[in-house]
Amino acid sequence: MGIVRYRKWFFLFSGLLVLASLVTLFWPPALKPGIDFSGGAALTVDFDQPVTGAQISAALDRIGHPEAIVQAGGNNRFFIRLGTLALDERDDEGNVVVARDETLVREALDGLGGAKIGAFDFVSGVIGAENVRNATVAVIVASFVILLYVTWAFRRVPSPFRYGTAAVIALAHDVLIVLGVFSILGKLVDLEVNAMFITGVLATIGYSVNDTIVVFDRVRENVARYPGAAIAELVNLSVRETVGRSLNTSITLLVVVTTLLLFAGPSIRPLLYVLMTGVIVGTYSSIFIASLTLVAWEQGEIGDAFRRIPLLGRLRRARA
Amino acid sequence: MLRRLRWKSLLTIVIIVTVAFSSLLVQKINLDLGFIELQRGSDDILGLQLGLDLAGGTQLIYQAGSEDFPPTPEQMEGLIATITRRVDRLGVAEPSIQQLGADRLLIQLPGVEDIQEAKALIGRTAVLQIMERICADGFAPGQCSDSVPGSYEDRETGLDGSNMARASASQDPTTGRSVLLFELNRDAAGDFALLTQRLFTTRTTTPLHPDQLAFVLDGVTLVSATVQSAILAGNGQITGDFTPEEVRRLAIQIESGRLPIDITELSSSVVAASLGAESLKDALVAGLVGLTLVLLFMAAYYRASGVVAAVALIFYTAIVLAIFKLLPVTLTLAGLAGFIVSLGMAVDANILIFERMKEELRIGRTLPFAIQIGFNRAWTSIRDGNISTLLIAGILFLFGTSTANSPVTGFAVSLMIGVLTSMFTAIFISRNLLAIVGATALARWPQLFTPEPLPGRAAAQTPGHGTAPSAPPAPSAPSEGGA
Repeated sequence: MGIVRYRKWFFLFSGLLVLASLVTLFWPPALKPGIDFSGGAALTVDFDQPVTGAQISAALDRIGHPEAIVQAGGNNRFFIRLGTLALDERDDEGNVVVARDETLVREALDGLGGAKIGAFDFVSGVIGAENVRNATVAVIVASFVILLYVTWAFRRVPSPFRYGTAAVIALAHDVLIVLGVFSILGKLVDLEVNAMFITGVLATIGYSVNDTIVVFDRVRENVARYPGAAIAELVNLSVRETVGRSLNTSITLLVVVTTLLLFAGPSIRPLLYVLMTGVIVGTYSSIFIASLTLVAWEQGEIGDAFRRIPLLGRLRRARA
Repeated sequence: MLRRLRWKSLLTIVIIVTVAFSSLLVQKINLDLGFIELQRGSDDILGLQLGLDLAGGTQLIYQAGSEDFPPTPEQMEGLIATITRRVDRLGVAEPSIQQLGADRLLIQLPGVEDIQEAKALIGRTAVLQIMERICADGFAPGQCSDSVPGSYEDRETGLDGSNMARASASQDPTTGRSVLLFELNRDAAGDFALLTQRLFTTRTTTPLHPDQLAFVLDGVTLVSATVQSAILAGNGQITGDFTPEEVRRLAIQIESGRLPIDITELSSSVVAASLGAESLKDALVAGLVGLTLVLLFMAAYYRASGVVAAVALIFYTAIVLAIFKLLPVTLTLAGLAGFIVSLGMAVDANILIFERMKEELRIGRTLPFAIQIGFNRAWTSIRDGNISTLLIAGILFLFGTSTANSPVTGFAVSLMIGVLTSMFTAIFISRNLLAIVGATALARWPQLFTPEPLPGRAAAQTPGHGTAPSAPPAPSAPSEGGA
């Protein structure tokens, strides 16, 4: 399996995926924010009598919520998402003096036929904005910490910084593609991202780095074992030796995630979708992107690529 | 000698696993060994502590004060005391009221499904009243006593928190005892003088059980005292058998009623117990099916090694759940997800080891050696991979606690516990179990321990690495130089 030989194709493939992700991310809305990020309310409601989504939308429209998104969950269960939620006004005694959405929504739903509210979540805009900021910081900090850690862990091999950078390039690749996939899903099927989505992205980072470290660990070992051998050959060997493990691990993870998707409730579904995408992309990138970046760097191709920018022209020449 | 060592490890494993399983099987743990007291468990599954999303309940986050009027630490303490008292009145089994950051409150009320009622109670403005505590009708003066219930009744005096200027804890300079100092506004000093004058007079008529002055917050008496003399200047002190801490808390509570602080709801969540139970059932089914599939895959692919791994993974699951129960960690859906990711790491550690063993068996090593070398070789990747995951879990934890985003925190905590445990099970449990199995008669068939057919013994004992390139890069590789 001479993957090193075909690295340009893998770089091209990944490059296109990243480019596509960037395009969809720059095309607003980048990601459809869930209530954790935009503020708003989400409800899970069970009705006693048969009700349609259209009836619910109409009822909510009447009390000033045309933006409500209603999804059926089967068995007269509905998931409702409201853009904002005005809280009831209460006096010093805690009694409601002016009923707002909080009460109106309950009444409107109850009017449709015995609504039992299973879950009612409300997040204010203040918390939403904070979550966005913290999530961004968390992803960036995680990337830096990983760069430092991988550099440190590989301090005994020549040019450890390259290992760290290659791991972070693979990581950025994975994060961008996962975000891209969710950006497209948000535009196509209104899939929203919530706090658990960020958790999933960070878990993806963890998984991607773990996977990359396994391959690099083998490279580290082979560098020590075969002094003087070309890095391209060593990387090829290391990938070949670890690919079985990478595939088996990702298959077991995918099995577990799929089972959870089939059985577990909707609240952790966004997390599971991210994990699924992340495991696939993370496995791919640790085999192809992280290790091949190492080769390309070692052989000075990264500098070359920047010098001769029309990359496609170069590829054509290489094929000829 | 090898055997003796293994027996010791086996014993340790047996002890750890027995402790894990028994702490899960005993619904409620109640341990008192003199030097350690342990009370854990619940009525839920395996006695685990379930979060609100699985058990049902209400969670509220409030902002205290505003940006222009940030609350002082004392005000926060007073607010928490006030809300705790009100929540206790709701009759919630195990409420939790925590401060988040400098000016936020996280209130968790397990089992409370009427969020409107909870909000009404929590959001109410605190009312501090200065009352006079007098002999109730039907009781002759002198019959009144704190030990006779109903003999005293509180009567409004027209003075309340708005008439107070401040309350603080102090120490009497002569006696050194802790005292509570309070001061009324100047315009209320006259009324207060009349009140205390009247209360003081009752001391002369019924010296044993005189009427008293009481500070009442939200209908609950914080402190009551006999009046030693009329207070004319509007400032007085309450002396009693107080500890400095009691006086400090009293002052804070009176202050919280004197100057109630506004709270604004930032987020809320209510989950019905029925929906929580449904989520729990779904998650359990998913977890069991997923775990079974993984165990079957491991046993089918890695054969005897896989069976050992399957046993180790069952132990792993029990140990992690036992840690959750003993620490205790409240289990939420997000926490379950973190546990599942860590289970993935645990499986991965085993796979790493078996793949290394496979390579060692391929070049003809005997099983005990293959096991030993396999573990040693796999260890660096397991260690580095797990450490990086731990770092990320740590960052997630900080991110989660900084925003009160409890789902993220739950995920991070269970991921951390899971990863630490997985390193332990891979290195200690899997390794020793394999070594023990490897020391039995099964070792005669090393092909049982690897997914691939083994070559004949003739190829055995080539030094070095089985799949090593025998020569530097093959000359056939085209344009490797990046030309």
